[in-house]
Amino acid sequence: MNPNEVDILLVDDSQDDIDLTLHALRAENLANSIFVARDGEEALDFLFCSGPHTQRSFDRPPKLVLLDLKLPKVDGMQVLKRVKSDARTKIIPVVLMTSSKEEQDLVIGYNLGANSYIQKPVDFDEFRKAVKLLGLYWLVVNLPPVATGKLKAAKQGQ
Amino acid sequence: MKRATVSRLVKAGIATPVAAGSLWLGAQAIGRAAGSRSESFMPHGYCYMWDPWIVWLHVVSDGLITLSYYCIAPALIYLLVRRHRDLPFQWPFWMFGLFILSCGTTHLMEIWTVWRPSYVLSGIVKAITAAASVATAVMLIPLLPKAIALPSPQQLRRVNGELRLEIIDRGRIEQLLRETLAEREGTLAELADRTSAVEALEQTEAALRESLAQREQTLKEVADQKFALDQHAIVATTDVQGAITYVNDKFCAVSKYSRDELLGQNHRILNSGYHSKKFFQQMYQTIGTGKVWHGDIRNRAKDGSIYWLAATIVPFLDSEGKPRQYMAIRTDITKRKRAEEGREHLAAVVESSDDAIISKDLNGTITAWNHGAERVFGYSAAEAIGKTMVMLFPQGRVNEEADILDRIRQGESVEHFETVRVRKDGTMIDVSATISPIRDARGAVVGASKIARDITERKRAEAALARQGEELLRSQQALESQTLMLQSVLDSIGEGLVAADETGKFILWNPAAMRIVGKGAVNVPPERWTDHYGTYLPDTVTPFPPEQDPLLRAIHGETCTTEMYVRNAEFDTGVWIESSGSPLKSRDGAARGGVVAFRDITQRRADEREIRKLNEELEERVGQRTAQLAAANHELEAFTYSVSHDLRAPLRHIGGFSRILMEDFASSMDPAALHHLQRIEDGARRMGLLVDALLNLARVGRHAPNFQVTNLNSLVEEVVSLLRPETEGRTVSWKVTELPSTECDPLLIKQVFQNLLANALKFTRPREVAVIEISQREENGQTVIAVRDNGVGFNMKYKDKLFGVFQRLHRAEEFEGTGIGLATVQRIVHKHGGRVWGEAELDKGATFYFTLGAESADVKTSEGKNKAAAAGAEI
Repeated sequence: MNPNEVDILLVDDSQDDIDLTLHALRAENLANSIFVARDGEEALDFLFCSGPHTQRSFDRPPKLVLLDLKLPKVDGMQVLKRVKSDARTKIIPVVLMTSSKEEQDLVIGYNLGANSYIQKPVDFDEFRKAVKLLGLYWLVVNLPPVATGKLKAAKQGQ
Repeated sequence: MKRATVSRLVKAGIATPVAAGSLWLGAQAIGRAAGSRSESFMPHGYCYMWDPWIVWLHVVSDGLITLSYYCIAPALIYLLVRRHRDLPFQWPFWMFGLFILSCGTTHLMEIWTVWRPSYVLSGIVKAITAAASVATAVMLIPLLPKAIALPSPQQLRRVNGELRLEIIDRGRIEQLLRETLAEREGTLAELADRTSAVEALEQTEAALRESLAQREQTLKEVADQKFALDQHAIVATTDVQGAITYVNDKFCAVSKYSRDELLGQNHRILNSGYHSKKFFQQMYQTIGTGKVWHGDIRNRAKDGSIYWLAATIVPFLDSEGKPRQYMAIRTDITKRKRAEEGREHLAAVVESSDDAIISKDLNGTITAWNHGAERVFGYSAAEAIGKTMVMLFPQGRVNEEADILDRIRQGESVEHFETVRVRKDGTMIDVSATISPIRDARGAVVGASKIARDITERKRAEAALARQGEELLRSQQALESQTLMLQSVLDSIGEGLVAADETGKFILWNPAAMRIVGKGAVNVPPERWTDHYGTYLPDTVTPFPPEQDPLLRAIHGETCTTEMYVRNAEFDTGVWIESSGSPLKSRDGAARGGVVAFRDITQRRADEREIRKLNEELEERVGQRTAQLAAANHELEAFTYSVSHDLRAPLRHIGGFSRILMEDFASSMDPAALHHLQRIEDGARRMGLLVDALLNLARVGRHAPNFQVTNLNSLVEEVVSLLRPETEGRTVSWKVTELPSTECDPLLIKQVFQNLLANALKFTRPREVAVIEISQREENGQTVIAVRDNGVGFNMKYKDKLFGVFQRLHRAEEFEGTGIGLATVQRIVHKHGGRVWGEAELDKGATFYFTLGAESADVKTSEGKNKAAAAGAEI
């Protein structure tokens, strides 16, 4: 898979949750270009085209980031903050997916600029439904962000 | 300019040239008539040698002269025309005008004759001019004096003014004259009246003279009567206001005022202050209405002496029946009054006496019986007078009367004779009697007066006194023994007791005091007590201020309690004492000293210190525990948070992978295996529900409630709509009555309704029509909310288990559930200070009731409740 043609960046530390999510996405044929990051550091490296992902380009962001909150190394909220405070990445839609629906998380998440907040349902059916809806909405219905760099380039090209 | 003037000017303006012109033509004609002669003449120009300078000099000058004359003439004519009325003589002016005109024409001819030798014509014109001038001169001269005599306009004006003033004066004088005339006429009329009046008067005078003679006769008679009256009586007359208008000589004599001093005065000057206001008011009223008044009056003479008068006051009425003056006729009754007073006084003395005063004749018959006698003996005066004295004697003493009478007859008195008599009611009384003879005017004994005093009481008192003496003796003995007892008490008690009198001298110092303080009573003045006994303030170094010593303050009347420290030569270590002082008061309340009780409190102080220390330790420990609790609480919160994340994820995985297995590998699995997988999934789901419910319960516990007035109906509506999905395909009848608005946390109470209504829905599932009622009722001043359903109900035997955590009264196959719903409801209701309970009958439905608050929820304030609930937040 071309790292520059990633539709979804899935950030979760639980392999089980990852497998379930992928299973659900596959059922909707949305799982073709998904990159999985297992912790906050990996996620940041990916999004900021650093570390092992230097060949990535800011002009080709993923269409969606599914971000879990409880992550090792760098916390989900930290990732969110970094992503949403950098001009190059803040356009990327970030959906917080987490088990908690603690009010404080909601407040902080939205304040940091999360595009959406989903509580992972315990019930698998519900979970599947939620993932399906998510995927369909963000990948099919929603128009993906256009990187500012592309625009400049397009202008330059003219 | 006036039209008249203008027309005249125009006329003049036309007339002048016309006149000139016609003159000239006339002259011409005449000239031609004598024509030939003129051609042979030479014009004047030849005279001038036709020198242009001379010619034109003459021509221009003549021209100007002509012009001027022709201007002057009209001007003159204009003047004439304007003022022709003012001028008494006009002819000179007309002549003058003509003269000027013709003179002007002469000069014109001069110009003509420079070139044309019309000397005949010019000569005629000159002749006319000459004629006019001569005529004018001739006319003017006689008129000169007249012209001078004409008054100037100024003069005329002045004369006019004077005339006007004179007219005004004349007018005024006329007015005056008219007025005077009117007056005169008036006076004349009066005079006529007077004359007739005088005549009438003369007639009246004659009549009066007659009656006067009659009156004099009457007066003489009256004077005689008056004289007679004055000899006997005291007479005064007053006017209607009460001012004295006449007093006779006797009046002056008895009042000791001179006539001058009395006349004009009111009778008040004689007021002795004896009679009441009412007395005089009644007098004035009587005489004011025209009636005669009789009475006795006490007066005061000028020298202050008192005299009595018997008075009769007679009002004299006028023609309308109203009083016009009063006459008072009085006689001096002072002596009589005095005698009366004297008698009255004596009688009063007798009556007022407490003693029985009885008078009897020589036969022993009672003739007088005073009030005291009535009291002592019980007989009224009416009953006693006329009876014999013997009725008062008891059996055995009757002969006393005979003895007494004997002695009386001989003129002897019996004094202070103690005996026994009998009252009307039969009781015996002790009396002390004094009997003396009554003599008449000649000195003979005619009776006796007896003064008897009831001495029963006295006798009794004497006996009582004797008894008291005995008692006194006995009580003295008792007192002695009591004193001994008190002494031993004082000696034995543990508290120090010290008393001093008002001078500060010690009168009591018990052994305990000695023991505690180490010293005994010493006659030191209060200022030196601190020094001698070594008293200090509780700080153990400052000497106790002597003026604040409790004993001293007690002596001064103050009750107080103080702590002191005592250290003196008798002790190495000092002692703390607590002294209470109170004043000693005598029976009449006067301060007679003070007493102080004190005890050794050294031990107590030590104990107090110990307690304080323990308290501090306790406080510390409590603080620590609180901190620990807070930490524990904090840990629990973190725990709850973890649970949300960590417990749920595995559940999701279990359920999820089981489902995937079932779906993706259904074809290659045994139905039994599939079934097992299903059960695994179900288990995971159930656990998820339990975890959620537990988390909820914990959150409810932690949540600090936010009390605000909430309308319960709106909450119920929200919950009903929330539960709509549950009612799909079912017939549910919601019956919600009007619920109150009350103080509560809306979120929490919404949860309560959610749980209760969800339960109601669940347990009514077997019913065709589920009927769920939410209502309220008042009970003991509290509002009780009730949620009733027509579901399967429960057995009241297990009602205590209803609210236990995880407690269920039904099997899971019958009705699913976590067993936490009601526990949560209870937790919330208790947070609001209310109660929750349930009633049901198996298969007949269940009703759950809850209250929100110990009293009517509207009474407590939000703030108070919030605070209280927050403080009592369960962990």
